[in-house]
Amino acid sequence: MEVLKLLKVKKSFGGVRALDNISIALSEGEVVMVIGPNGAGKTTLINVISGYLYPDEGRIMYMGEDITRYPPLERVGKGIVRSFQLVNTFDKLTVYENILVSVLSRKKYQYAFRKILDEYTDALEETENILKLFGLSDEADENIMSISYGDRKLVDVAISFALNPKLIMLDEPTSGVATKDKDNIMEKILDVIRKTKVTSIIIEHDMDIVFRYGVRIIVMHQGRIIADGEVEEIRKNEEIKKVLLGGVYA
Amino acid sequence: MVERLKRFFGDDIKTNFIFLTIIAILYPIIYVFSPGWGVVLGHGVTWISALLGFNLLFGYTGLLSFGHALFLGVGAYTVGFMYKYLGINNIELHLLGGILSSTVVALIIGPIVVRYTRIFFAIFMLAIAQILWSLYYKFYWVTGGTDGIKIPRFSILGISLEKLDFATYHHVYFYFVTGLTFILVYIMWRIINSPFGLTLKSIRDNETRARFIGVDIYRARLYAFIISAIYASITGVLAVNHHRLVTPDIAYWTTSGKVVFATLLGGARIFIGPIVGSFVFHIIESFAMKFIYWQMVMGILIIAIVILMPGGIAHLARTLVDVVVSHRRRGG
Amino acid sequence: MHIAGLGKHGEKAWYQYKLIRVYNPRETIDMLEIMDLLVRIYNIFFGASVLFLIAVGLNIIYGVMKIVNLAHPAFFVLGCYTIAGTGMGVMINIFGSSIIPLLITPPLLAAFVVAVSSLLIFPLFLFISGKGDEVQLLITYGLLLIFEDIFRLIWGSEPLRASQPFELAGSLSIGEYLIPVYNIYVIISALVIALILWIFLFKSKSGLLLRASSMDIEMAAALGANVKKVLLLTVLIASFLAGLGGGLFIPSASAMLGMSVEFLVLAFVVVVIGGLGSFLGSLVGAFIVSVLRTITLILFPELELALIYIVAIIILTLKPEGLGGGKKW
Repeated sequence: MEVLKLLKVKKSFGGVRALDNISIALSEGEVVMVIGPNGAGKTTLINVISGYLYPDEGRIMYMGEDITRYPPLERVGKGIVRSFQLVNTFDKLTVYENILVSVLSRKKYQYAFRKILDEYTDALEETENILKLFGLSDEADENIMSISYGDRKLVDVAISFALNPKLIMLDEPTSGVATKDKDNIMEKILDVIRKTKVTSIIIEHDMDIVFRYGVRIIVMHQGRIIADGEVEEIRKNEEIKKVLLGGVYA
Repeated sequence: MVERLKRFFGDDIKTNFIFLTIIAILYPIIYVFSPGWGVVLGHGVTWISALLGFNLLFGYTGLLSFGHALFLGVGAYTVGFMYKYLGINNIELHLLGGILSSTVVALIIGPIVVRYTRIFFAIFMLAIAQILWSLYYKFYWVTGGTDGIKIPRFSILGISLEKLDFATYHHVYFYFVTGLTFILVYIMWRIINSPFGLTLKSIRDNETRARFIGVDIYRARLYAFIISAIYASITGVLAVNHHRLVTPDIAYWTTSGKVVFATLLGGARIFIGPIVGSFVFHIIESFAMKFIYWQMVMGILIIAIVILMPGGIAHLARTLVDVVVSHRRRGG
Repeated sequence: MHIAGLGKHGEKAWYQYKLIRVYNPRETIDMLEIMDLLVRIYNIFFGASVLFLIAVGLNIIYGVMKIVNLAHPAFFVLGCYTIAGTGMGVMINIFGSSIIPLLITPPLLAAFVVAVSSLLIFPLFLFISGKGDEVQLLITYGLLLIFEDIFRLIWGSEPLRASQPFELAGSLSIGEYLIPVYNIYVIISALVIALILWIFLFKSKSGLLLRASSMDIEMAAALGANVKKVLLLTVLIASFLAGLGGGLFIPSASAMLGMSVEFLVLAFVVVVIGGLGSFLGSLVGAFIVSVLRTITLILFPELELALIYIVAIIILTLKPEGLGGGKKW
């Protein structure tokens, strides 16, 4: 079944085409990595799908429904969840509370005030499970600002996963993380995706990571999709490699 | 399952109740030695409600209000009007009236002001409070203007306190308010430790992300705003019953300043902060009142607290407790 | 009858400020004739001049340092007190009753005193620049409290006047109206100040530096600007303007306690309507607020401030960036 379908989506800022005639289809459980040089329109793509921005033209279909003009909150309710390129967590809360607040929100307890947290054993247990899934149990009681940047990235992704998404979009989950930790974090995230079988779009800047972990890859350049296919096809294509290398290192 | 919801010193309900109990036990002793200080404790316990309400917005939701005198005024004038026009001096009805009228006022201005944060929220609240304050002056034929409305001693459950001597009357007042405060503290503690409380904290820390995990931030802020208004109005109701006079002063911007200062002093973001702050504030105030430049002292202290001890007294106490505990652990 | 924010002693000054009520006690709404309208317009200009001089400093400090200085109106009131409490007496001793020096020197003296005082608290501004707005609001709020008591400490709690220039300048009688010449002087001065400020901000090198810093203070530092110097210049200019405004305003009113908050509430509306941090916005906002005040004072004098705030909230909802054009400066 098709989870997401973009039909000729266009978005420009001033005179710059950030998204130029983008059409993508994602079937259930599929994991897509999006790569491209800076300014290729990767983040704009996520912004448009998550409702942060509305496209100028084109349509966005989700589970067969036209969601082009739905506000972000409604999309979250439908299971479309994103994370941000920069770490976006609740800075004065603990790791545990960061995830708990997300779990509670999904369970529609976000305005409940008659019972205290301790009584919501279902939510507490679920939070515990998510922590285990991401290997964060040991750090659960730490303040979010006192753990390593890489782990904060993981918490950020875990907050998104706590919403039980049907479609998750991760904007450069390894950006800003020390090179030696990048693999570790990517592996953990992909491991969770495999276990939960959630349809995913992962933006990644790092070519090595994409080629190591990617299955289906979309290459963007100047707002357009210049390639969409299996990792092997993309790897072999010298033209694409040139664009990516040129973009990254220019 | 691992116990994750640990609460630190000052955030657990036990510390709060113990603190209030100690005050309640000390009160008669202090009153015997010096009735004046007994009255100061009376002020202290009266203001806890408003500070808790203010802190729900400031410490837990991230909305700094420079106009909480607005709701104290609403509570105070509800009492004034109830007595002046309906002859009601029953404190339970006063409280009920204060809760109802502050809810109505919060429902009128809340939906507008909660859309703004930071400077805009702060000054809108200041401005609205000043507007209401000016109305208490201007409509003097209703409000009594500067002279205000004099009210007699209240009655509890229909029992009049008129014939009691001052000391007994004050004891009744003190223990009535302390009892009420126990309930208010418990309710507020449950709210802050509920899922809703955690939602508020998440809005405080990161509005954008809160929106993206599915929180309607305006709705959550509005609820917090209403609760805060009710708590502040309760202090308004109690304070005018303590003074037995309703004047526009309680709605003036310096009253808001008092609320801000006392909360900062006690420590925002720690539950016990406002409770400690209320007592310490009134103790400092009763020393400083002899000194007519009290506002200046308050201003200097606000600046000093923000720069030197942003966590307030409660935070200092927590640090101290941590040191002692870890020292003992190492020793043992 | 008592009037908002001016306390028990405020009525007289308030009437002075809203001249129309003093000079035409018989006015009613149906007497709106051409002359009447002209007088009202003239009053609008006077009110707008005063508000502009306060709001523009607030906006400059916000524009460059990203600080909303709640104590800024207290600078203005410090200017008022400096003249009403001390300065005017000294000036009269020196110049007797010759009008020209009495018009020119008080505002300059006020501006000087306020600018020097702002130097004393400059370290605080340095401390809060770049801090979260919670810290900024609390600290400048603390300053506001301190200022109010400093006025009481130095000048006492009775309202003070410095009306000699106002009286010496006399008034023009047009039909049944008396228009004080002094207020015309205030309007012209405000226009001249606005012009000089505009030339400084948009045509001078220092002005360019200020505006550049407002965009990105780190970038400005990278380009070789001395950030501390820029911030100092900003605070000096803003406080100078506030002092100038206070010195100009005070001969037609009284200095009294509680004025800082009264003007904070009004200046904030100006800033909301015009747009935070915008020079043009200060002009537009001051003018609109002055128009609104004049209208509401005729129609619903009791609800003046409330109605102005309702309009401000409507504007903020429809155009969050204000009516100053939305662009910086």
